[in-house]
Amino acid sequence: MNFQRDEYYQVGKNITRRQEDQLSTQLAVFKSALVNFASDHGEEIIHNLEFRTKFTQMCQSVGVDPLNLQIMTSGSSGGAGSANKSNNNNNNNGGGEIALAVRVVEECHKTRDANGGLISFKELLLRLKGEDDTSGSSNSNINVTEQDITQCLTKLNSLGNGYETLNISGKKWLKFTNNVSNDHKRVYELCEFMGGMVTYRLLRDNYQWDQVRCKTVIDEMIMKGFLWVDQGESETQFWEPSWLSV
Amino acid sequence: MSTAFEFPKIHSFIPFYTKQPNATVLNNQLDSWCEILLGYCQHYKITSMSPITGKILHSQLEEDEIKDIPSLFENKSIKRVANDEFKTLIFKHLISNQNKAELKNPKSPENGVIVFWRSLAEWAQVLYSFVQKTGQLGSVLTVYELTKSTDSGLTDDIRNLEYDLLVKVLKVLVKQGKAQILMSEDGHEIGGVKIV
Repeated sequence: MNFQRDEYYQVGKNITRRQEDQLSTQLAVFKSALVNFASDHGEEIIHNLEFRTKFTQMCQSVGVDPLNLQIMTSGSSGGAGSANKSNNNNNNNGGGEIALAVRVVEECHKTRDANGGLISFKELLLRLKGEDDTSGSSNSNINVTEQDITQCLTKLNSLGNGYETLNISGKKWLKFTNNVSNDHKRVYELCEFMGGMVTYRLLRDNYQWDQVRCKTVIDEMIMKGFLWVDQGESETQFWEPSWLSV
Repeated sequence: MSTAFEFPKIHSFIPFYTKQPNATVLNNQLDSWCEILLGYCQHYKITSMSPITGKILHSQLEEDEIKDIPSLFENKSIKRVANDEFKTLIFKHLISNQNKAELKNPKSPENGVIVFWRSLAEWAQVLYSFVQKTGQLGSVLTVYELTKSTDSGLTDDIRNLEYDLLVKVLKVLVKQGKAQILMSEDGHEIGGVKIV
């Protein structure tokens, strides 16, 4: 009796698994068809309101984020060549840029508690790509470059000046908070040079800042969440919080 | 258990092992610690730990597998280790803010905390469906039969289940009206369980 029940259970499990596999293959095929469709009919999707609503509904019913689709389709045509890219901008790549801008804002909000509102382009790119891996859709490789981000930021800034690009030791950072002083930037400059961290001694030796200035700047930066403290060694270290790009 | 738990990148971030002075950042840091801790416990089937030293008190894995479990609170590659005070704070966060752990005895923390990477309700479900699938609903089972026996078709899910946790799970089933507990003669231990 017991044995039989077990057998039935096994058979049932096998059938369910087979159906699951089939369904996920179908979904994957459908998703890639959607990507193609979105790139072929991009213009229509943007201009025809009714068409767009239907398209969005279809995306939602299969669990595809239309924002992602737009980034991907604009990214893939842009990646074909630089000549193509400029051409693309003249037409309406706008959808893709706005979609990317939304993702950038999302990432900035998500990381704000950990980094205080200052994120390196390198980390931002990693996060934008990484986010996609976790969603499980392996075929949707977003190919975003620093240039894409710079471009979508110009779109964002037409809504007000919340997001600004900073140059620190040749590396680009995105600032989405007020109150980044020159001294703060110089601390990050030194972090960049030292592989992510500074100490009081390093600040004194490199910038000839006196103790009070060092402490004020560091304390301010800790308060704003720009630096994490490490007391694992005899000398306290202050780390810039972008562990993803380490 | 051949694969090792994959620690996220923040586990190799040097200041992750120091309690952060900024309250917002600290909260974020503690959330990250708890997330890693729960994933780690689930991976290595750890159900209780010491909230003071972070030592593993019970895992459902076999003895020789337990020896190979890497340390959660120490990262040798970056030479960092969380101190006991910070570990206690992490467990406090796990208990009070996340409700994902419980002191075995609130009066003596050194007895350890039970870590709920699976909630009590979920455990109750797992235990119930095991008894149901093996056709033992209505019969009296001993604690040995429920967690140790090798010939009753025990699933990996519940083999070696910790006694303290089992008691909590059974109490949930009793509340749902699905189990009766028979105490042993001295009245301190569970003699048998009838799940219906």
